[in-house]
Amino acid sequence: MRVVLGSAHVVSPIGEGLAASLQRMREGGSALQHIALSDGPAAVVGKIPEDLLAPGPDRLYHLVDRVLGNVLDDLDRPQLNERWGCYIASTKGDIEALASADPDHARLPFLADHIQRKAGFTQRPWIISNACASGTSAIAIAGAAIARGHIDHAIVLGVDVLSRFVLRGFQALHAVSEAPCIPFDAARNGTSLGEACAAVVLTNDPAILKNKLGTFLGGSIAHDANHISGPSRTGEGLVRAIQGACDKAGIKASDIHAINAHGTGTDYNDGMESIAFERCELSAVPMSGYKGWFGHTLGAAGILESILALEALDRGWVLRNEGLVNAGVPGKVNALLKDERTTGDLLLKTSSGFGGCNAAVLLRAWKP
Amino acid sequence: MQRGSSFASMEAMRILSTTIYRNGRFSVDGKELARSAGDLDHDLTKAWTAMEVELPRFVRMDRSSKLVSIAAAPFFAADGALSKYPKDRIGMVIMGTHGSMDTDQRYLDQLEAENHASPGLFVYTLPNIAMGELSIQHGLHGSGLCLLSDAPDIPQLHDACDILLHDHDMEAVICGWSNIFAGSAEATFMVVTAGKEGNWDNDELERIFNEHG
Repeated sequence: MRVVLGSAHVVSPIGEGLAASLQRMREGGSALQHIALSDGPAAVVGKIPEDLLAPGPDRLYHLVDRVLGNVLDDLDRPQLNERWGCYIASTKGDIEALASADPDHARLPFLADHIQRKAGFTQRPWIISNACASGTSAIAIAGAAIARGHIDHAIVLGVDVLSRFVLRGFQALHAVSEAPCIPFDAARNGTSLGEACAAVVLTNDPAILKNKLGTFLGGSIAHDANHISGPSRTGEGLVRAIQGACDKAGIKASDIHAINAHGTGTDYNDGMESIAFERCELSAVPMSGYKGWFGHTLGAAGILESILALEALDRGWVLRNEGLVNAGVPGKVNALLKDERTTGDLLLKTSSGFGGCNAAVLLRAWKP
Repeated sequence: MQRGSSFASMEAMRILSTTIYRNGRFSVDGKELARSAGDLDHDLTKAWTAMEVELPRFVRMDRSSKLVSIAAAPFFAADGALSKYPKDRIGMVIMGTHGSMDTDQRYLDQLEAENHASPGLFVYTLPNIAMGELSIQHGLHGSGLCLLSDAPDIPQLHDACDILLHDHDMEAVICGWSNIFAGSAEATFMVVTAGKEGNWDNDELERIFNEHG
């Protein structure tokens, strides 16, 4: 059975929509910017422009509504009956509500209720919270649910917004760079936090999609079983996730045309990934991470980056690592310094997160 | 009620063992292993000391991770339901309402009161960290899914186990509900396999997972 992706929409620090975001990435530099915090160290973050998302306590919900509305408008049959699933990927949802008069609104199921009401799903949405691997995990699970016949269609939506809660925590772990993050660079010095909402429809009936993006070939999730906040030195969990996804998709490593990596810009993460890619015999494959443009968007990252990497491949491009000057990681990888033309269509997307969780999906760009 | 027409296309699932933790009382397949009526930290420690399985990381974990570790530990005993399964073919599906909010609240309280972000607390402020601790404790490299829901969603747990067993090639799944918040803790964990003689019964599981007190 063919599982097709399409009718996607994104709002991130680089703007709104697939075509505009891709053009922005091709022609412009990083959207990461310095912000001042009243009670903590200054930081560089990726923030969604205020003309797209006004400040206020409900900005998470306004962001979700905007993306969801665009996705529903892009469907030919937007009746979300029991054959539709909804998979929400988020690490912290509306965590700022924890300090408000309604702390219970910080519960992630509160976000699921909102989305179910807003979109009119008959089924209760799933919330997948696999740390920074949430988004890629959600694509893997939604694709499998359709392949297994549980459902026919799914909306997969990832969202996380900037919060003092998370920023101060990453700073306390010395994981945040004082300058815009540069994934895979020898001088990388930490990540930059970002925020985004990204959503895509997966379906076994491509006729419902006004815009098609690609096909889902297979996915996998694996654990390092090593450390809760640091990646495995050997890339064990990521290697297992990549191999699992390849087995499921029935493809060999040598078939892969492009890798969209997690690429946080931290020493350990990027080093671990490079080792895992080399172990999987992917050293020659054009590889990039997109966080240099918009930062680490946590639970949204896997979905945002998958969508943008597919859109790029659809148009014949593998994009660079923004900001990368001098690649310096322990494993042998082909980290792109410049955007490259390609006729290939097979994308490997990977994500890794706290808890030692790794996820990988194989996606094929749309060839009508 | 089993969900939708799709159910017929799925293969049978077999539950091998069940553990239940409710506010200090811990039972394995109906047999009481520990009973305590102190505060939450005291009760969790009491259940831990009653364990046959060693959990050396227990003392440094947050409460949510402790609860998950206790609820799953009997499956790893010498005669436990998982003793014969290869470690990299054991998956995890763990659902709860509050996720890491018990620790989120502690981290935030300290941030507000002292303007200090504790790295030690922060690393536990993600709902899947308890699952990560479980994977480290027993060397589980398999697939895992941390899910959140207002109440135990048995059809979602069913479909998640089906995916892990048949799409992610796991041989057994530790599947459960675990919730800890405002001084109250509850967990219901099962070992689920792809047995020929299925015994997954949504109505029965709704009853077991929603039993309180």
